[in-house]
Amino acid sequence: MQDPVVFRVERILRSPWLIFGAGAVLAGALALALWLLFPLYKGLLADPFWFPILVMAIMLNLILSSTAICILAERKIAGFTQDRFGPNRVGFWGLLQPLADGLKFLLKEDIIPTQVDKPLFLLAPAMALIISLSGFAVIPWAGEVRWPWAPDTLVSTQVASLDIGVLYVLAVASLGVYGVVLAGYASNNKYAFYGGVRAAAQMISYELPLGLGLLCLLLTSGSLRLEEVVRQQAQSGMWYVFLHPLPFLLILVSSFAEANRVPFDLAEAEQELVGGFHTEYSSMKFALFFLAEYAHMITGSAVLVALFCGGWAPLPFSSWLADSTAWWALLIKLGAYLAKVAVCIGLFMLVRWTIPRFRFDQLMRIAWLSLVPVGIALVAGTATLTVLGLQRTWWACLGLNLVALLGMLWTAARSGRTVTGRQDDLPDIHVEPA
Amino acid sequence: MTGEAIAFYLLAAVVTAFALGCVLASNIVRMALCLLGTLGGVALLYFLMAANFLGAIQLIVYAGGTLIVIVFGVMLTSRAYGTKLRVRPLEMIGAAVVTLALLAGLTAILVRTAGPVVSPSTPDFGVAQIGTELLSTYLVPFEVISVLLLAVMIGAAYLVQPEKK
Amino acid sequence: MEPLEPYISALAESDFTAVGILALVATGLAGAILVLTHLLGPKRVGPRKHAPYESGMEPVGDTRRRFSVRFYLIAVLFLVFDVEIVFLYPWAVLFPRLRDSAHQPWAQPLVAAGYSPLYLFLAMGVFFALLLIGLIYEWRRGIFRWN
Repeated sequence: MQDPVVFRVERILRSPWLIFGAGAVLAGALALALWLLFPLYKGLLADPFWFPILVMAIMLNLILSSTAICILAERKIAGFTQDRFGPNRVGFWGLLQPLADGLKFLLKEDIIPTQVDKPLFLLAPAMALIISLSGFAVIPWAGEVRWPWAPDTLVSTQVASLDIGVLYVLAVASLGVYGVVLAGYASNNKYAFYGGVRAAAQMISYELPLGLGLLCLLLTSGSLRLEEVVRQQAQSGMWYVFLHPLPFLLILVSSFAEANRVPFDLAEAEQELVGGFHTEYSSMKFALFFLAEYAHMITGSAVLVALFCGGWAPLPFSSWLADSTAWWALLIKLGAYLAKVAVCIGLFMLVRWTIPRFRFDQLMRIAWLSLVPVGIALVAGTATLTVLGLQRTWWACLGLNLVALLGMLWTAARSGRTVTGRQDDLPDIHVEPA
Repeated sequence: MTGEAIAFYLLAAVVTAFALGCVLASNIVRMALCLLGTLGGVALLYFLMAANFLGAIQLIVYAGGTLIVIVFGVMLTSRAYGTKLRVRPLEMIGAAVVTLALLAGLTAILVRTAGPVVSPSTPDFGVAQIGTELLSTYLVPFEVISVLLLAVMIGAAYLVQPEKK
Repeated sequence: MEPLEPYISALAESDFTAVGILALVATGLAGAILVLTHLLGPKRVGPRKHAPYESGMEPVGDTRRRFSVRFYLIAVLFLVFDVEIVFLYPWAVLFPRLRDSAHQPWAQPLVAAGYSPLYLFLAMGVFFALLLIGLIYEWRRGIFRWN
């Protein structure tokens, strides 16, 4: 029998009126506070140094809180894919589930096993989170803005406008491997160790296609600055995904692998390695790895959107708002950017629940025998187009992609087996046509 | 002293501390971690000197590439983990000689270089300019590098898997 | 002390200040979470509980054992290609700008110095071809075959 008090509390919590009412009250209070305090932070908003810091604080909060929402969304999407409900007990439609999860993580016992290398064991989750959060510094969230009360100063919504923007992202991504390797080593556990080694081999292998895909883009944009790449796309209306669909796919696949997500989650393959590198982690230390994974996913999606999907540009094939610096344009641009990122994250999640995990030999073959050769061919092809001065011509770029795709299919058909095919020590498949 | 100078000396101290840790640590994985700290700190020093490209490359190639090779090499030799590594006096003398020679060489270069070679505030001294230099002034060394890299690849393949008959 | 100043005076206009602040905030956050969860959770210590997890069995043998040498080869190959790609970035940034030099006046000196796009293409082509030979060689040797 259920405790009647618990039952009553649960029913109250699950009422949509309570959730949406509380949400509306909170939003109203926040809006009121922002409106009342406006004279206080008016100066900060128009300051070229402090405004990006402010943006950073807001975006940091947004990323951390959207992690919670992402976990709910992930479980809902899992439920949808597997034809079940997903979380629906805590709060209306499971909306309070992230809160419950977070509290539970925080209140669980913080186990530090005796055999671990203690300082490194504690350092690993912190390192994973720090590195994945540092990545979003160069993302141009909504371009530049001129506030009505300070028409002389142009402030940027980008935390740091670096001349090496894309390379900064790559550098931070290449450090991401250490959180996992360190966790695997420090745990002094066989499962964790194998998980860590696998993760390291996987992450470095997939950095190459990432770099090759970026080279194709650079050969068109000629700039490493993310805000410049976005500006080019916004002004021409020609998002680079329309010019370079295959490099886009290369980078998309590589970001799945870099974020250690299914189908590339061999580091934590639960059927063979229990939990992989985080087997020995509990309570919030475990949650830190989760936070890092989702932050990685959000940052990766945001970079992908900036490079290929026009960043804050609201509409494809149009230069609407490309040069506008009005405050209302800022809101539209930010909305467009976040919407695109949300779509991208949705894609990450759908892929996670539809594609089964790869075997390790398949993983390596995909990276080295499929993605790297295609990437090299694409770089060589794009360079040839650049010599001919055709690097911004849509038919030339699409033609190149088509030729590369046909080449891939032809090689795959000739070799008689798919890249994700059987292990090499198994005999070849000979199927007689019926 | 300006803020930049304070940041510089702070970073330099951190880099030195990590480097000392790398030499003095007795656990080989902690050595590797200290090396990561040193390489990362040097990258930050590059950023501080407005050599952004160099800093990013330092992170990508050294911290993210070379160190992984070292870590894998460490993991390949199973006995190196548990044992405490002690330095023998003879090794210490050898290391001291090499270090002093390196220090002398670096000092000689520092003394000969008069002031800043390129003003960091030059707006166009960016990635594209590095590309120009690489493909014009330094074209021959650049092409030689590709031969070297090819040799590394072939050598690695032989190391791992001797030619089958 | 003097000669250092010009090098490091660029920090004022450097955007790495903001990146540094972000990294510090992230570090503080991670540290705070670690401390908080350590303080809040219950503590029940026991030898069984704190043993390495091996699906409920007594731990067997040493954790740090040797693994396949192929991982090492993958790391070396990655390093070689990583260095190659790093050399390609400055070229890739320069290349389209040379073409568009009519629109970007600051690329004019490069064109005036006689660097045609074709020259750059061929110079990089040699570099690229040598590494391609390396990749094909590894492929033929069966390095990427995991048995």
